[in-house]
Amino acid sequence: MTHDVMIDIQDLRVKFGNHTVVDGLSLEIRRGEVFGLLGPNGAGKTTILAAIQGLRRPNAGTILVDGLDVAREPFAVKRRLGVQLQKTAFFPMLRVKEMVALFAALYEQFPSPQEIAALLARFGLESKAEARPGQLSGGQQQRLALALAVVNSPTIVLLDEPTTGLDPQAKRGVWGAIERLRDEGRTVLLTTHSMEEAQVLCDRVGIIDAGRLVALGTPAALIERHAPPLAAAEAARREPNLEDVFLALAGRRLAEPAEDYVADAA
Amino acid sequence: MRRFAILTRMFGLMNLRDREALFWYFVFPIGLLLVLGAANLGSGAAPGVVAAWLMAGVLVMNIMTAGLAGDATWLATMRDRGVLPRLRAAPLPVTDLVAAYTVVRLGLVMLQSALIVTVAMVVFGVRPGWDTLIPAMLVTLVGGVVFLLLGQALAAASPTASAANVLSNMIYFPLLFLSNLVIGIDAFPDWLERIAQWSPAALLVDLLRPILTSDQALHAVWINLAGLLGYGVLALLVVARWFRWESRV
Ligand SMILES: Nc1ncnc2c1ncn2[C@@H]1O[C@H](COP(=O)(O)OP(=O)(O)OP(=O)(O)O)[C@@H](O)[C@H]1O
Ligand SMILES: [Mg+2]
Repeated sequence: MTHDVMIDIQDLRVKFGNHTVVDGLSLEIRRGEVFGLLGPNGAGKTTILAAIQGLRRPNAGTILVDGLDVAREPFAVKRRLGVQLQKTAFFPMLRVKEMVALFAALYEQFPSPQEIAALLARFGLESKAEARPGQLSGGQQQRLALALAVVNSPTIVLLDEPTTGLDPQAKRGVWGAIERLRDEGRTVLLTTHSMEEAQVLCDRVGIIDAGRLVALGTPAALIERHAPPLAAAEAARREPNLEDVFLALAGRRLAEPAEDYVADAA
Repeated sequence: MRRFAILTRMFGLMNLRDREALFWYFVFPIGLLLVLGAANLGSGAAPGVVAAWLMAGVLVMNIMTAGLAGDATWLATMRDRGVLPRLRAAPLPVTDLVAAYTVVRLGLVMLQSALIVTVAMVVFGVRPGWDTLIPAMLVTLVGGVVFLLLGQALAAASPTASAANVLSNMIYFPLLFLSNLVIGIDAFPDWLERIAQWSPAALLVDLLRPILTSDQALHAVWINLAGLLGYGVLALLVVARWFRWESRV
């Protein structure tokens, strides 16, 4: 069965104690798109991903992944997802290539040494196959987490700040890897604080603030709709970008209720 | 099945690469057997008899150590360090995780036990026949499962891995001294003896020692077995109820 909506979130509500972190979110991620979730620290992005992964039980609402209800069929959902968590740690005593074999096995996949090497090469880790996690730099660990996210050939890939902490070259490398995921027909949902990344990489973005969706659309549409006109001197130097959208929305958030800024789905 | 095999292989690798853990697995039990065995050499009793008595105690102590001491709280430590949350995002049932861990540790316990018996034979001249070694092996297996589960239960019920460690040690040391393992239980007051004989370690050594020596068991075999099984089931229930993939802090 195929669906055009790969992730279907309806009226999602997640609370930590009395604190509502995701507040009635409805969002549809389409097959084959790269979708970016933007939002300030604490907006609820990671919590939304955790709910999709079945790691955080929602207080209300439903989430369908490829037509499967996360609450009812968590294992079937997990098999379809590739996951990179914002915070992650690795078994300290395992080598990188063993880690890949282990995670593949968790998904009932058993890659050959050549396949493992190819996966590592895809994320610039070919020389690190024998290394322990403690011997990897922060950025290399990040790339290992990304490699592990696609180890099961997932139809949907959830990446929580995949390029945070990477050097510019590594960042480009990861962008290339994400574009390749799209070319392979996979659906990607990522979070980012980089407006540039959202603009370059994402087919659509959703801006989250305090657990609500305050804007949704293609980067171009959002810029057109929300970016305030640039002063003449600035306009001569640059185009308006998502940064302006974000500032405009985040800045006005204090004065008016967030719902006022929900744009129509692009 | 192949997944489980790889999971256990990796857990095995991790364990064997951990130098600190290797101390607990091999150096500690063998060292204790040698030291206590040597200390008893001059006691007048036939050395082989004393050594067999000690060997049974060290075997049980070693099983206890696997469950409650050293890095028995390893899974909880991995949880607190943030390794388990990523595993949880994979379609891996808790039962598989805990079972793989238990199987690896059980394999280690059997290896250590074989080593302990070998040292007792070579150094102290203990001569157990196959008719005693095979039942002793089975009892060791049962005891290993029970204590490994008890350790997992403590880890699951504790808020953090370090709390689990403290709790395990609080249980480990009284069990070590009160369960007639390497120190005779006669040294303690009656009331304490009456309680202590129902500890999992006392039940286990009461099963194992009569197999390996001419000592009389305190309880019937079925009582000891039922008691151990009870502890095992209790531990399983606690694990099932309180196992967490994520640290609470
Ligand atoms: N385990 C938890 N217990 C209590 N509150 C939590 C927990 N996890 C997250 N929160 C709260 O939920 C809110 C949303 O957190 P979340 O991690 O989803 O934000 P985010 O958008 O991913 O932020 P960032 O950009 O910093 O990663 C925050 O206010 C945070 O304090
Ligand atoms: Mg986050």
